[in-house]
Amino acid sequence: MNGNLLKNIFVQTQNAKSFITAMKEAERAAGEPRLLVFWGQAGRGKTTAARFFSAQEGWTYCRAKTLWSELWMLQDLCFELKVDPVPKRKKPCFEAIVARLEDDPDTVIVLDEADKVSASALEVIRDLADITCVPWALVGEKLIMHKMKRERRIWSRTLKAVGFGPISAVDVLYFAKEAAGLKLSAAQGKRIEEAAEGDFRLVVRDIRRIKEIMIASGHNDPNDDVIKRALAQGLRGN
Amino acid sequence: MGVFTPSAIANAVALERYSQRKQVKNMLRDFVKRGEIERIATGLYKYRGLTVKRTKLEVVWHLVRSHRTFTAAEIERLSGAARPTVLEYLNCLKGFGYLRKIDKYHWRLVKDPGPDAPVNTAKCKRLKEIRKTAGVTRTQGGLS
Repeated sequence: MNGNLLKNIFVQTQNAKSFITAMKEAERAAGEPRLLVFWGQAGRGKTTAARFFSAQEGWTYCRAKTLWSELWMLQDLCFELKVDPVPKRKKPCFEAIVARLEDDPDTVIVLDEADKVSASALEVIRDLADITCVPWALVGEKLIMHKMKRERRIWSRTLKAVGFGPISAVDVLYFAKEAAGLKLSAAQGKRIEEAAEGDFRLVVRDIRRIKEIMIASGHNDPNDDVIKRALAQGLRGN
Repeated sequence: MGVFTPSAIANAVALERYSQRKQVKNMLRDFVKRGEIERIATGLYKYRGLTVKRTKLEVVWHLVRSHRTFTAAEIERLSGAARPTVLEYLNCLKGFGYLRKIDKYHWRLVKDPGPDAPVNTAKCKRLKEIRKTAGVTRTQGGLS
């Protein structure tokens, strides 16, 4: 996808680091209801971070659906928690999930697109978090914060709320070094960050272009002129 | 088991000779190396437990299920497995009827058997043998 100019690796941005730090804190805070919320606008890397860490750590990952009813949600959770056969009614589903989580208290559940969850389904999650005390990470857009804050009983059980912000200059420097092997100065990193307006995809595009210009012009170091040309090409939509 | 000394272990299994007690110390050093116990001070150890590391295959399967529609590059980036390893496993899954290739780059999960990674151990073993005999070296990843 990147040609061979950039390494195809997952670079942990500040947002990704905040995600894993909060989750590890929650794992340590055993014995109390542990709801976590990760929110931010689309394109900030919430889902990528959730998928990456769920896969690496072996957490249970479940994606909410727009049409989710309480029963549908419970059945999807049963399936993800390897309850076989999946019960057809709410009560046995709920009981099966509780039994499974009590058997394996190290389980961590990541619920992506959680802003689609209805208020009543959110209450079910609160009950499950209360009874089982396993960490529940709810990942979604800003709406999830409103939904959780609206219900005091849910908000009071929320251990941590982490906002996914725009990409920082530090992230740009780190990405350039890890993916492209470029050592940029702080000022150059800031310049790229400002040009991308916090969008990570644009940063990737700009770094790739810097690398291309360096190869074409035979430069070994990314000087200010190279950065300027790369950003100017970006603005032209090339 | 909490904090302990090598002598406590040697006494518990009734080892009295110096050479035997030395063996206990050496064994503890191996445990420290693989992270099962932690050396908290000179001659003082703490049991941490052995964490089972997830295999690349499990990570790839988890990512396949969470993405549903994906490219091999995405799975490679997030799993940390080498591209040939990813493609090998994706083709295995395609053969089992779990995945379908929808165009040159995109794959889709068409049958979801659940969180446990489906694996044809006989086939994976055979592929491993083929790699070994072909002398293909891998820097990252692996099917087991």
